[in-house]
Amino acid sequence: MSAFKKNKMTKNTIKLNKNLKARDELLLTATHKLRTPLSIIRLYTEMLMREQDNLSARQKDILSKIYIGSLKMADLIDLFSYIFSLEGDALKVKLKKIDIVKSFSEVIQALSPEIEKKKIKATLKRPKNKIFLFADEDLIKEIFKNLLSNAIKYSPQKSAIRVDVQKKSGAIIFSVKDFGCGIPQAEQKYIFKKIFRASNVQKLNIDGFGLDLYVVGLIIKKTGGKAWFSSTEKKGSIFYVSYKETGMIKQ
Amino acid sequence: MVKIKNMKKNILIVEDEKLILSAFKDRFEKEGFDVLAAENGEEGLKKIAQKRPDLILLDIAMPIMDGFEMLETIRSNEENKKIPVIVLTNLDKKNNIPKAADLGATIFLTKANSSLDEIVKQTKKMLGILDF
Repeated sequence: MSAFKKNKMTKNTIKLNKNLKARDELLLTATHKLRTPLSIIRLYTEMLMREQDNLSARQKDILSKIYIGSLKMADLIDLFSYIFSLEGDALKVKLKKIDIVKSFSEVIQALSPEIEKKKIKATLKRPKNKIFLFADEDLIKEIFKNLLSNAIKYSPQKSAIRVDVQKKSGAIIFSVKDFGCGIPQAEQKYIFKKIFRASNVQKLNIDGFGLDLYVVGLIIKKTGGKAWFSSTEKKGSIFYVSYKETGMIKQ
Repeated sequence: MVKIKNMKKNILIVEDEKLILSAFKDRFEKEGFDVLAAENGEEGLKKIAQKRPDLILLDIAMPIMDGFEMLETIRSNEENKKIPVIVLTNLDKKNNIPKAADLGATIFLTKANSSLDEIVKQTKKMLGILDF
């Protein structure tokens, strides 16, 4: 390659990186700005809800739907803001020694209202010895939370979810197994893509944005992990995540 | 609900969005607080100089003087060093909680994710006010 071409490519790369950085900043600012009108909607809806004695049953119902909508929008803005930070260069990976089972137990506890609502039996198979991973605790919890909440979402009532953590061949592997609707074979290649939802779950009318597994894939890509799964429609899925024993790395 | 008597507290709310400020003011006054209000950090510091509040609810992204600068100024003043400060913002947590904590914020809440009830509850808890 000539020096001229090389110089031109370097200039183009610098320009592209600058544009990407500007885009990331714009997206983060946009999510921050969107939260302000959302806060106003939420605050004033709450104020009206406190004074709802004078409202009819229909008006109360409408008010509660506006409130639920505002909560859903807040969740969505949080999720987009999180994804923008993962996609961009702003992600700060803070590594420390994590007791994996302890961290996962905290996530299970946080999701226990949803587990109990569907009367699901969730079990975490505890290894004989404690397993530690050098990782960012927020990120490892986010991966596990997304896998577990997906398993809950797509599991039938009174079914089971099994979580397993093990140390094997120089790696730490954890898995989340459910007995839910599974993923159709032809669509499995899209599972870690953004806003993908399998055709069978769309028919079930289950709430979701199709971003949970995309987030899992992004974090894993940024921290040097691996993710894979196996799934059979109408029987269930098992998702695996692994990191080298040496832990997460910032890519 | 029975409130403990003689516990009327004075709080300062610093928030540049008028509609949010008005909603907070309305609710805290209904809860029996004396409420001082300011629309930016500079105005907030003037209010503190006039009357020392028992607690401050502080936004971060504001014109003229932002919440971080105001917090830094409050903490550098011996008299105001111990005033509890609840940082209430819509900025992202991951990057801003550590900065607010370093500057001396007592707790950090996201406005779009916190109900008025939660904000009032946290405020009362920090001031040692009990509801029955």
